[in-house]
Amino acid sequence: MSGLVPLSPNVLYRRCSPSDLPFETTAEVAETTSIVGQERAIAAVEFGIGIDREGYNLFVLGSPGTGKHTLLREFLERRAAREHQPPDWCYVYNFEQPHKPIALRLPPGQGLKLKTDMAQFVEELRGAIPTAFDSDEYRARVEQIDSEYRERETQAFQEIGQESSKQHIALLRTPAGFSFAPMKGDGVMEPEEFNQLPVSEQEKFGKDIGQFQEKLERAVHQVHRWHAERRERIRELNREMVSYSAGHLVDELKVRYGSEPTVLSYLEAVRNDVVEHAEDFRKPTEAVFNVPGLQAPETVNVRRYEVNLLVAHNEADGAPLVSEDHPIYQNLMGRIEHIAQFGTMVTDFTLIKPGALHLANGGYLLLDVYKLLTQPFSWEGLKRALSSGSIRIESLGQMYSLVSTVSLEPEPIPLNAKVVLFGDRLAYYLLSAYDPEFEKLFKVAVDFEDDIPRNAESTVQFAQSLAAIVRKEKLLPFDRSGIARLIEHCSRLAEDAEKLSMHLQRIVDLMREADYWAQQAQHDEVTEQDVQTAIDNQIRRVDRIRNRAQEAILRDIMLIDTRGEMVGQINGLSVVMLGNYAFAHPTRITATTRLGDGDIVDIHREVALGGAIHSKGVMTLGSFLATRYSRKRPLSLSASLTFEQTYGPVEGDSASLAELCALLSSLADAPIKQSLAVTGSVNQRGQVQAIGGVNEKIEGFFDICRKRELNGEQGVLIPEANVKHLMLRRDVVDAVAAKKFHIFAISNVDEAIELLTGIAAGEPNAAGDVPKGSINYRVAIRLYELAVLRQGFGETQKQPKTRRNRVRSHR
Amino acid sequence: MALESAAANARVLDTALNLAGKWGGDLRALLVEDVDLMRLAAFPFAREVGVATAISRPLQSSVLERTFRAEAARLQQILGRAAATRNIAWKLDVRRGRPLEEAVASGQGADVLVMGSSTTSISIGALTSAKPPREEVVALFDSSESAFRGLDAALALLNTHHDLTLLVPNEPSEVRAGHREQARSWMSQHGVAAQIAGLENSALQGLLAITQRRRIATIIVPFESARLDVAALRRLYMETTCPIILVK
Repeated sequence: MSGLVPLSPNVLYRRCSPSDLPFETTAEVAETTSIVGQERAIAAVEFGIGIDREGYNLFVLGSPGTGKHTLLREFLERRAAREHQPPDWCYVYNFEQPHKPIALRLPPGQGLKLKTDMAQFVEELRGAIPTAFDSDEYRARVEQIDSEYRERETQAFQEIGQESSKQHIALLRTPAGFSFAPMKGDGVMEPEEFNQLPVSEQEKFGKDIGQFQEKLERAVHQVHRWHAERRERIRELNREMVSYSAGHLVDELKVRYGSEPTVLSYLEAVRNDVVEHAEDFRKPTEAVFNVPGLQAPETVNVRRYEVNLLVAHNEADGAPLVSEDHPIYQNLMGRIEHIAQFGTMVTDFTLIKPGALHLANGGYLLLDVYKLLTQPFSWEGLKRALSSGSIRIESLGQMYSLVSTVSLEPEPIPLNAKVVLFGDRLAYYLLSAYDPEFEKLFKVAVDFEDDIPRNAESTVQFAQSLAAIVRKEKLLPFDRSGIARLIEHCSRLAEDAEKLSMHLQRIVDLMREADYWAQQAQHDEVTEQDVQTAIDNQIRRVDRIRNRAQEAILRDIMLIDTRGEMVGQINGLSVVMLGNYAFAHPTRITATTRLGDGDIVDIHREVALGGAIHSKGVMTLGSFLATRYSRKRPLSLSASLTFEQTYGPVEGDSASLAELCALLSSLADAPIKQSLAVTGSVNQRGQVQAIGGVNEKIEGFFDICRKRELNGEQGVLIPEANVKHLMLRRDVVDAVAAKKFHIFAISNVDEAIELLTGIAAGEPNAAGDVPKGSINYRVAIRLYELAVLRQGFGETQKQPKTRRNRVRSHR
Repeated sequence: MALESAAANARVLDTALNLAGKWGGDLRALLVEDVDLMRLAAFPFAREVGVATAISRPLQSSVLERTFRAEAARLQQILGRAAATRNIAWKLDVRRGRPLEEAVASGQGADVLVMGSSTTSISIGALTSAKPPREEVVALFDSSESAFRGLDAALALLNTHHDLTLLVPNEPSEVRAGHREQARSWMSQHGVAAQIAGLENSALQGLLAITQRRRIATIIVPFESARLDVAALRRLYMETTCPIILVK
């Protein structure tokens, strides 16, 4: 009989004594950070932000809810506020290559000023230029030019007319031009009279008229040339007038932006363009048509002098801190919008819109890696920008030749931003493995702890961080019993009495709910009782499936014995994860043994319901049996193991100890106490190893036993390594204290089988012999008998292995 | 009030309608089909040099006839609409002859004759200013009764873009001084500002010289002065495109 004693109640739950906390309520706690225990992550953040080298962007990895965003935001907000503001960026018209807008960099706050100044400049031009053209000076000079050409024209035609009249040929105006006709007196000769003239005279008239027509044609050509000449002189005059009107306006701007060479170049280009396009300012400003849905082009095309203020910074700002929640390519890299005009899509530099990279330039950009990776082209776009150190706005449609509209090629803007990606460890390691550029561009890993050690110091720090959350969330003050209960719950969430979970999101949620229940109970402070109410209600809201599973057992639909004994039958414990909620229930595991050639059949695996780790556990049992009991002869056993009444996949090796005990029970023909449940994995040497979900497993079996009535014999066998993980419910601890329920810590299979069967396992002596009657003795004898039987059958009687068995035996 | 409209010169029409509307007169319009052109078109060698293209093309009688008919129809339409709007009684006659002579002849019974030649010319284009360019209303003033009516016509036609210029004929200095005095008196009476200038040549020849150099909106001449120098009137008629108003 095993001398193993059950665990004492004090190791089943590690209490946090309120008296250990240095305050009565959180209201007394001074302002502090809500982040504790993330020293590695903080050091990485400080390094990543501090180092000003290419590729030192940050990847923040860790489980969801561990405070990654909070910490980074808190840290970056403090840091960004101390940093210099980055420059403003504007796009302006490129007068030489209109499809390539120019990016202007300006000191912070100057972008808006330039935009306003240019708008004002255009307004002033609208007034100044027409005024100049309406001036008496302008009119007089135009009149001088016009008179000169009118005189030339009149003279040209007069000369022809006078010359022709000397030849008795009249120059006549026709509806669309001029013509010549023979004259008689001061009128045109009648055709009849002309016909009566001598032929020679007629021919002379014809010849002369032909010559005059040629002269007239030359004169008309000459007049056309004069017109062109006149237009050029008028244009030159216009340029002179506009140059004066616009010139002093531009000069004023140049004084204001004298320290910005690029702006000065731009202003000079504006001056030249205004002079070249002076006519645009003289046209009426009314739209010439009004078609719904169509934008009437401005008759005065002054949009090209506008400033598209892409990124502006107020003087009070520090470095920008931008978080892009929807990182589609356009939101990240910027986009060029189009507008419909006469059925076509058109654009100009004023329709260039910034992306998150523009807004974060000179500061920090926070992105969720999964959102980024699931948006087409975004990841590639981000990498391209980081690699090239510039933001180039490209239309995807243009890039992939999907659309053929007029588009732009804006000048790329230099990029100097720290990009911070948030993701889990899987994403980080997958990117590291499969994307060669990833490690070049995201050199700083900020790895967040999922939990921190629980000791006196960290407990106080953690309590203070909870107080910070209370303040930040504007909750009722928590008294120290409430905080202590929260700390205990954090250990439960960490599944470790010696750790505190850093899944702060769940804690914050719990605190909000405790605050709610405290207010419902009209408490002034949140107490332990309110926290417990919140925990109970959290469970209550999601425990429908657990209750159904327990109900099935209690109604004997699922067959689970909690009393009596049975050979080859044992209570295992299965954990079910439903979202964030986990619970466990007992599962009957049965084993059968017979003559065979060493195969242990995992029925779940045979029907493809067993996972790889579960199969590994089962195969380990075969190895254990062969090593311990059949070193010198073939293991002539065929055994089958199954989880009864389970119809879904089974995974994990936490049932391998139970399975081994069931096998030994079957081989030794020793009944197992059904009042006990077992969890733990086992290795080839029979040592029991730690498993997960130990608290849920114990509580799952306890609930069934309690509902059937605790008889003082029931209990659970757990790996000794899991004792430090125990943070059991209070009712379980109370039952243990009352000796109505027992928890045994097991270190090897012999301890387990002794407890389960009440028969000694049998320690081998120096010669390797075990005591008669012991479990090990009975198993060894049984296996020996099977080996002899197998030998008796001989090779000819041996059945050929099935293909499946052959395959399995090689695994 | 008579109107001679060659090729429906829009400015001539507009001027005539303005005066008829303001003075409550009836409008008698006359479109003259230039007989010289018809004769010219009958010649087999008749060709027309286009002002826009400088291309020489045949000029045919049938085409010319059609052009005149279309012009008459268009003028009828324009007059009908414009006169109805302003409540002016009107009549359109079409005659074939020499435009100036026909106009003067038909204007014998009218108080005011507004006439203008075909707009055929190589236009050098309007000033490209947003506002219309300033133009002059030029009135020949010889202190006659007709000249005063001419000033009234000028007053009726003046708008904000017009300057008024009164031209005093080349006469003995004391006569000329009298004209100036009369003109100033009229200006003072009507609150009108005008430039008064003296002509060096005969009245119409002086006007002709001015129209070649300046931008003229309308020329107003006392009927009697015009009648005395028909040759100069012909040149004025031929070489200007602005309306010429003969006032009795």
